[in-house]
Parts: sequence; structure tokens; C-alpha cells
Amino acid sequence: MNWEAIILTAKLGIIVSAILFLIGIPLAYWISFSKLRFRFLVEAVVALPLVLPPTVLGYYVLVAISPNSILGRVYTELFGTTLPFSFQGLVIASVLYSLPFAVQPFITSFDSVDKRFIEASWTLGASKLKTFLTIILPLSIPGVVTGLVLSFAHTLGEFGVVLMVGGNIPGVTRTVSIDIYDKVQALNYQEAGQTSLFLLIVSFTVLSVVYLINRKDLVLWHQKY
Amino acid sequence: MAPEILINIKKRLNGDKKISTMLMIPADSSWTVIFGSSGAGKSTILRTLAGLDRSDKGLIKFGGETWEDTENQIFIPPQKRPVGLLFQDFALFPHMTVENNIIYNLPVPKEEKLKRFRELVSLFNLQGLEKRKPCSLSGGEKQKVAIARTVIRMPKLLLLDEPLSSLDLPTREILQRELKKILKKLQIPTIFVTHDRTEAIIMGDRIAVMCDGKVVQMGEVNEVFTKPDDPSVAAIVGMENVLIGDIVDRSEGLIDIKIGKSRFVALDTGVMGPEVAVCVRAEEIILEKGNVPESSARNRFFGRIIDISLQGVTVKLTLDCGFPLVVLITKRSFIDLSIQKGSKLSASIKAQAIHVFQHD
Repeated sequence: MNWEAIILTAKLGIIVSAILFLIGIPLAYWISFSKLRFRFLVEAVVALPLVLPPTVLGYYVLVAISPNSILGRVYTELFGTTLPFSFQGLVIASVLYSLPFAVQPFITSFDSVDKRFIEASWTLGASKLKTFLTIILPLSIPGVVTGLVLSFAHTLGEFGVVLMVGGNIPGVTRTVSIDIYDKVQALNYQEAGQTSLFLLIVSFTVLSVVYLINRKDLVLWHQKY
Repeated sequence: MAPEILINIKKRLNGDKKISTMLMIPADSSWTVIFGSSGAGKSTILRTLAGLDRSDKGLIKFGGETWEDTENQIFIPPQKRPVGLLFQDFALFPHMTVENNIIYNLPVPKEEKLKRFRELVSLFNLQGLEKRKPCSLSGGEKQKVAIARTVIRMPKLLLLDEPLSSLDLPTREILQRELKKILKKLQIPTIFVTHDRTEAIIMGDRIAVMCDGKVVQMGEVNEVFTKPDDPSVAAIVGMENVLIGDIVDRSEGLIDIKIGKSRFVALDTGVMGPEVAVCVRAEEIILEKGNVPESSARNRFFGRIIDISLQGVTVKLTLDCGFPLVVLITKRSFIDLSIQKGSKLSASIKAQAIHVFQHD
């Protein structure tokens, strides 16, 4: 097995999940509690990576981060390197690609918090931010964990976007799925099989954890009492 | 003069429903019951007062403060209103202990926080529950925790939104008394929303009857129940005779209640005295004329007819027996007995037909 690729992929998954926690929570909050008319448009944009071919997403990310683009130029100014075919570029693409897997469970869990708890908190004088941090977020822990675990698992398995944006540089952008593809191309079925099995087991374990924490009888507390 | 709470709001709800309400309530320590069938717009009024809903067009004033004024685009958010709202089902935070629920977001120093908390724990007998989660509490305990959480920040106005409707009947009857006893001590103006007639009589000093988003009548509880302004109010309140009296005797499962110079006999349901509200439905009273034979009815009053009003096949009569008694009889009985203004009649009421509620 190619441990280099496995460690790289795990690192990518953890960083992407962490970034999605930081930007996904405010985004989901905004979508969940927004009364604006164009909320549906934002929801559609967030869900886009679910239906878009990874090559299409990868193409646009590549264009957006190329040294000729504004983003690419700013990045080069700041760090002296370019984004395409780098680990950082891969992180940006993966965050976009896994966005719906984090944000949608967040929205669902925020939406399912009983409105009366929120209103009770407001009438007790707590600001919207304090209400979010002390009431909504703690009551949404299962949904937040689900979102993070799913986006982590989804990042582990991505292929098309990585190939488009990251290329295939060992130790930099060669993730597990690319490694498997390479092995098959080289007719090295034994090693491809080993890595595939490893990915299968990890994905299955992760999904089992998600369904376990979402089981009704295992909630941390009963929201309705 | 006590400052006033002024509510003058118009709001369109889902569908065709509309709320158009004008209410003036003195901000003293009295209780105002907003009474009406479900869907009449009672809860919306409370929510607008608390700032959880905005009105389409309206003015809400509390004493000298303006809480909402759509004309001048003033809207004080719920966080800034000195209001305590007790929700249906109490809305205790399920992930917090009783203690953390009660002291949640209390803007005072830690020592003061603990002092107030300990006071409320002993006032409400919550000792031993401080570290428990809401899901392990009984209905009554939850209610006390919810009240403690509401009053610990000393609101200037208490809003109770059918706080007992989710409980079973026996618990409810106990808690009605407890709730009023505890909250009366706090001397805060209170607005209580209910669709339960008994609760309205027990809880209210004053009642505002709502129908289709409008306040159709407001006044003292017994006044509104005995003298509804129009048939729609009468239909909502459904209890034409409400008399205030004192329990003077109880024996053999019966209680004697003195109202003016008359005595009522009713079944002893364990109601606490001494002051009680005696309620009788107008159609449960039997009128008799001439020499009246012995009867099993425990209550008999003699009086003269002072008012007659025809209502389709029934006739509503008011009999002066030292207190006014509203009686509903059929038109045929009315003709057979040849009743006129001034006719002398006797009214009989079975002890079972008299509903007695605590009133203080």
C-alpha cells in the first residue's frame, strides 16, 4: 500500500473538514435563518457540486486559481508560489466540492431546533449570536458531526477534481484514488486491490459512525420532552 | 395613576385571518386574561408584545416606553423588552441543567446570580433538582423551573401563553392554584392567554374576550360572564351567571355559599375558599310559578322578572332574586307561564348544576 498517498489524503480530509466547519457553520446559519427571497438561489449554488461533473467543477477552479486570475495573482504576490497543481490548490477545490456534504446536514439540524427554544432565549435577553452558540449549536451537535464526517469521507474518495486541479504529484497531490487509478493503469491489480479495500473499510466505518450518532435512541438528550 | 399598557395592532395572518386589536391594560399587579377559542389571535398578541412578531401596522406602549410604532419605524427587539414570557410546554432548554436554565443569560454579577437563584429554589421548593435535566422533571416541576427562569430577571410584564394546556386535568387544577399563588406575590402585571373557561375565571381579575382577531368585550370577569355585550360574547363565554360569594359551611359533601342574603348549595369539589365564583348556565335553571311543591332541587330562589329578550325559539329572562339570575327557557314555556315583566317566579337549580371556582 502507498502510505504516502494515504497520509496525504487523510491530511487533506482533515484540513478540508476543518475549513468547512469554519465557513460552513455561518453559511448554514445564514441559509437556515434567512428570510430573504433569494435564499433558494444560495441553496442551489451550495448544492451544485452534488450534480456537477467533477471535471466541470475542476475546470472552473483551475481557471479561478490560475496565475492569470485575480485570486491567483494575489496568492502569488503573498506567497510567491502558484496554486494549480499544489496541495493548497487541492484544498480549495476540495472545500468547494465537499461543501454540500457539510452545509446540508448543518442546515437540516439548525432547522430542526425547536423555534420555541430560540425565542425563549431571545426573550431571556440573549443576543442572536449568544443564542446560536449556547442553544442552536449544542442542540445541533449530531447534525454538525454528520456534516463533518461526511465531508471528510467525501474528500477521501474524490478523483475527478483532484486530477483536474492537483494533477498527480507524489507526496503533494497524489491522493489515494489517483494512486489506485495509477496502479490499475500499470496493471498492478494486487496493490490497487489492497488500497481499494482499505478505502472501502474506512468509508464504511465512517458512514456507520454517522448513522449511529443519528439513531433516535442515541441522541445526547431529548429535544422534545 | 398606574402606567398603562397600550396595544393597538393590525396584523394579517396566514390565510384570510386578520388581527385588529385595541387593548388598554393598567400596568398594576393585576391579571388580565385574554380569552377566546383557539385561532382567535390570542397568542399573536402576546408574541407581538414580546417582540417575537411584528405587527403590520400598530403601536405598542408600555408606560412611557414605546416598544413598537410602525408609523415612526420603532421596533424594540425581544432582547431589549423587560418582558417575561412563559411558553406553552415551557420551552426549557433540554441540554442544560435546571440551574443553568434558570440563570441563563442573567446579566448580573456571579454572587448576585447565585443569591437570586437560591432564593427562587427555596421559594419554589426546587431543592435537589438543581443538577437535573428538564426531561427528568414532572410537569409541575417544569412549570416551576420555567417560572423561576422567567422571574429571576425581574420582568416588568409577565406574559403567560396557555402555560397549563399541555398538562393532564388533575395536574392542571393543582398548578392553576400554585401558579397564581406564586405569581401574585411578585406583584407584576400579568397577561394570561387561555381558551379554558375555568382557567379564565380562576386566574383573571379582568378579562378580554377575543373573537376573530378582535377584542369584543373587556371588563371584570364576573361582569363579562354575566353581562355579555352581544350574543357572540355570550356564545364564547357560555356561562351566563357568575356570582361572587363566600363559603360559609361544608358538610356531607355539600358546600353552602353565601351570596348577598341568599344561600347556594353546591357539590363540594374540594374548592378552596372562602371567596368563590359560583357559575350557573342559564339553561340549567328551572322556572316555576304559583305555589311550588316540595322539590329535590337544593336551590330555590324567588324573584321578579326584570328583563325579557326573545332569542329565536328561546327566551332569555333576568330574574331579580336579590342578585340577578339569567334564565333561558323555551318560547312555549314562556307563553304557558304567561310571563311578563314583574312576574313573580321561583327558580330551582340542582346542586350539581352549580359550578364553583376559587376566586381571590
